[in-house]
Amino acid sequence: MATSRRRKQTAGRSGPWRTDALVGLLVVLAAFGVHLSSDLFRDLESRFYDFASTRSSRVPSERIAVIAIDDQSIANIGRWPWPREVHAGLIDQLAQAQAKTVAHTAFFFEPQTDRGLASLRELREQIDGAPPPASALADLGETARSHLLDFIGSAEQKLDGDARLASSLARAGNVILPSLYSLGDPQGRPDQPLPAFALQSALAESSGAGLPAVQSQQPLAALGAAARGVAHLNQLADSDGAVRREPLLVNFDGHVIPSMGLMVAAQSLNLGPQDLRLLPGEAVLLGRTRIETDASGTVLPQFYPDRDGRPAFAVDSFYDVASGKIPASKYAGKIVIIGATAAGVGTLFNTPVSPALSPAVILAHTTSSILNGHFIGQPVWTGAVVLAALLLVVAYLLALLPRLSAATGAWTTAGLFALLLGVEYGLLSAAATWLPLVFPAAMLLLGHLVLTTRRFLATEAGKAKTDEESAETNRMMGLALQGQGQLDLAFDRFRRVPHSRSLMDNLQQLARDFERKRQFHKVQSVYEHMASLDRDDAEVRAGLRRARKLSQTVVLAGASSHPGGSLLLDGAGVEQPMLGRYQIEKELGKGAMGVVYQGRDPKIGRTVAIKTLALSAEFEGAELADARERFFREAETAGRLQHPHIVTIFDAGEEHDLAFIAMEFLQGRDLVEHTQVDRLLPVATVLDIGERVALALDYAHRQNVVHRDIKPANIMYDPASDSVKVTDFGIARITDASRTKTGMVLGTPSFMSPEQLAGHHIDGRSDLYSLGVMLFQLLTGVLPLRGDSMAALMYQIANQPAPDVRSLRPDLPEALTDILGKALSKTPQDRYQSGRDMAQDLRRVDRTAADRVVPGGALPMGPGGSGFEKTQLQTARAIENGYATTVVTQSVVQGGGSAEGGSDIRP
Amino acid sequence: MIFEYFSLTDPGMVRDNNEDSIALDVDNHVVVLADGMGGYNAGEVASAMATTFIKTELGRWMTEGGYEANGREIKRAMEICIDNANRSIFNAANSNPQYAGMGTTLVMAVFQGVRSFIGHVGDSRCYRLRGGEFVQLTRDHSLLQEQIDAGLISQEQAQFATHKNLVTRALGVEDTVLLEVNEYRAEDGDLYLFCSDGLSDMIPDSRLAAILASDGTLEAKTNTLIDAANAAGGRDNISVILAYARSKPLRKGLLSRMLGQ
Repeated sequence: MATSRRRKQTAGRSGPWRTDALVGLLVVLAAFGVHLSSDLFRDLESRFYDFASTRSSRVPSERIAVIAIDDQSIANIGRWPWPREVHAGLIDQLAQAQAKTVAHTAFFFEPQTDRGLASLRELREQIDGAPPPASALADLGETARSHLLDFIGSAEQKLDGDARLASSLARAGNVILPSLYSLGDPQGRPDQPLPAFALQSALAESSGAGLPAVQSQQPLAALGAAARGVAHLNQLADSDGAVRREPLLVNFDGHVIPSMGLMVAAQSLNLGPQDLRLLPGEAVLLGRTRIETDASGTVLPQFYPDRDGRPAFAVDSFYDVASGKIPASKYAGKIVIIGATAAGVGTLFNTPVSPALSPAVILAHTTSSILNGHFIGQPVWTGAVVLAALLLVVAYLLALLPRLSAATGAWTTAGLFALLLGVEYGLLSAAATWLPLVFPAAMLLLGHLVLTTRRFLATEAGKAKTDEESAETNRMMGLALQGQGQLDLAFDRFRRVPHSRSLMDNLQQLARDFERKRQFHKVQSVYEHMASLDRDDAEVRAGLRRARKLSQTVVLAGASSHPGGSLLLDGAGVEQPMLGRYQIEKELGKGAMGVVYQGRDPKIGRTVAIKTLALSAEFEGAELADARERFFREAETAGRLQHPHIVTIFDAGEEHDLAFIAMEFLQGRDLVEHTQVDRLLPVATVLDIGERVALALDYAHRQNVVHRDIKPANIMYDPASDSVKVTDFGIARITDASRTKTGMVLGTPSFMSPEQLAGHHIDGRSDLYSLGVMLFQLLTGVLPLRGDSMAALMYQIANQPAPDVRSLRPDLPEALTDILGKALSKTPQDRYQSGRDMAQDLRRVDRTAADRVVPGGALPMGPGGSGFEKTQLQTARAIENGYATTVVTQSVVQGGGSAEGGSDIRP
Repeated sequence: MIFEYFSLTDPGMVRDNNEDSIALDVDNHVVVLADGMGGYNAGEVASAMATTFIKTELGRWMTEGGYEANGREIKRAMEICIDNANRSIFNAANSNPQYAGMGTTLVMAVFQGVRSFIGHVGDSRCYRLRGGEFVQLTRDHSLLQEQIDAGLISQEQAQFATHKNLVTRALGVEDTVLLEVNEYRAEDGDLYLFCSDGLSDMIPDSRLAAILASDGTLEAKTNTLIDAANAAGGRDNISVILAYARSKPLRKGLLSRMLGQ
């Protein structure tokens, strides 16, 4: 049944850091998982590698030039593929210019078949073939035949581009042609072995070195034999499709084939395949140069960055050279690489230095790297360092980061991240060494982000909860400030609270308080704020309209026309409000249960006092019935009683959610102020009052009503008309046996009889005891029994006999000793058994003697206020008299609060 | 002296809502517990107003100079704070019909070094367990207690009295209230229990002492107390604040720190 347990305040800071480590571990595992299953981190590494490695300050070889088959060349020379003569022409030019080495990257795998050539061959066959000539050509003469054959021969020559090229190649003697291999692990022997010219270019050693291949594509035999060497032009792409590596060796059918780069470099140094030695898995020896490779003979060449806005290798157009625009002498002694860069001709590759690079330019970079020894190396300790970095990052994420504060952690992570990447960058750009540290750096960043997000979310959640709590705190403080009368500060606090039903109620109450103080623009501000929170609430809109109207209305001065403000019922507010049949004239004060007004019955012109209880819609069920019952019980008990000295009840009812009792409007004041030593009434007056109260009590007791709270505050005295009235039957009880409810002890302790204090059954004699106490106080200015604490007082009342009144005031008549002594007896049996008896005794007291001494000054006769004014002041005096206050009840009633408690409180 | 606190409130088994309110200002060592009463939900409002107000105001006072204050000044500050809280609740009760009749009891404490100031109004209590000895530090401001003190009824009769819950002092019922505040010395190992009558009415003192003297964290003991009160009927809202005094902090080992204790 218990709904909410609100937990507050834990000691210790354990939780967060423990789970942070766990989260860190999860991140690490996830990172590893991603790294193993996908290429994400590898690609990132590659990108970083591209970025860093091309920031090198290395200078490319000056000996290398590139002649490109570019768009301009295609446009001018013709569609690709070009006739072989064209290539032959350039080769001749370069040979003439004495270039050192020429590398041609176009694949010449297919013979150039000219359709015309085939026909010519056929014609030659017809003319000069083995079988006897056809009849059509039978009569061909010798000269004609030889002329035709010559012509056909020269035409054949012209058209046989392959032969032309072959002869050019042979004449140049320094051209390297490419071959292509399909890489993969062979299962058996290849379909066809390598042709002889290819074998010539293979390394002398036959070992298992290099990348295995299953198939090969070789240039035409004629061309291959005429070339200086045939080397492979395989490009090895990484997982992201970019070319960063150069496979120096390919293994086919047991033979080790060098790459074009290697071959070209060798040739330019006047070395051949026989000068290439292998240290398998370690290095390739080119003459005296040692090239470190990985296990499969692959190297990482340096891709040179652009300098001064121009690419590393100057690329000349084929057409420019062929047409002579660029003199071929430019290439004297150089390594010339010819290849296609035009779109649609051949493939372009993504490389570190450019996203689209032709194989020719790649070859340039590679060859330069080989010649200058510009490689990116990975020393043997690379693996160890990377592993160490990983472990460092993992340790940091799991153990250190959770313990750091947000700021420190961020700085440390940033520092570590920068360190890792900085080291890699520095090594790549300056020392051409590659430590793949991107993965550890990425894991570090990821781990930090995840942990930070988690912490942020936790704080946000915590903050939301704190916001909620602080909103409630603000509301309570607002109520507290409102209760202290600091309405402006209260409004400030309420403004910080988000919308809720209870807040709206509080704001409405605040508006009423402002109204009471006549601060109408503030009322308007409050309603405007309420409207901003809840636009649609009809009550709020109505309130706002009224508030606006009020702040514009000129308020008429005059006490009679406008009520105090606390009863502004709906309507224009300027007319006089009505309650039942009574017109409300002004507010007299605040009673225990609600406001007390002065009203007027217009029909008979009688002025009345109206006690109200506001039954708001909030009271419901049992509480509502209870509250109403208690309120009207006063009316009922007093209504039963009709006596000149008991306040008369005229009317009781309910209207506008307000319950009210209309009673006799009493002039004069209560007797509290006459309990002070310097303001005592004359003895005769006191005795007179006592007599009349006793008679009133006697009457009440006969009606089976016990007042239970007889004290000066509940006796109204008007000296002008010499009237005495007993009031405030709010806690009186009807002592019919059928309605008795024991267990409640109520009254004002100083005036309570011993049996009342003990919670025993009481009757009218208890009232008479209280009357005795009251008289004692009115005569002497002090209570008969007092105590420093409640306990002491109660002890006194229970055990200590009351002092003789004449010991405090010797001038009093002797009879009073007996009368008061009897009235203040501890046991009811010893007291007056009826009010009538006591009244009689009081009347018989000889007042003549007493009148001689009148203590104190004149009786204060203030302006005729009603008996209900200045209740707060009465309270102060009451306390001065010592515990003259009513006991509060706090009942333990199933399922309900204690509405009873409210109505028993007296100010 | 280092103080460790734990607090918890529970509506109990019978009531629908919780009219108790608790507030802790750990930095300023201010502890407040209030048990509200009044029609409808007014009890909640009264007790919440009291605890919020006192925690805020007294906490602020302590921050602004309470550490240098002497005993008399602290007591005076507590009294003034209570007086202001009382006035605001009283006025709110009188001006707002929904809150008519609301009031609240209160027990509070301010710990300063080796001194403890325990104040109360009404029948919410403070107990102390010191070296095996369990005493009730506050004397209830209730009619029953006064009757006992006046010799009108005996202790045995008190147990069967039907009007156990009538208090003679409360916040919000009159426009002034008198706080009873006393100063005690705080010693190493002291365990203070602040509770509303929802706990002390359900469980006899001997049982309270046994639970507090047992081993365990403050949290565990608080939960045991509340569970015991609920098991005995839980007829009212139950609120508990525990304060434990130590003269020097414990050094926790690495392992226990890693395990989060």
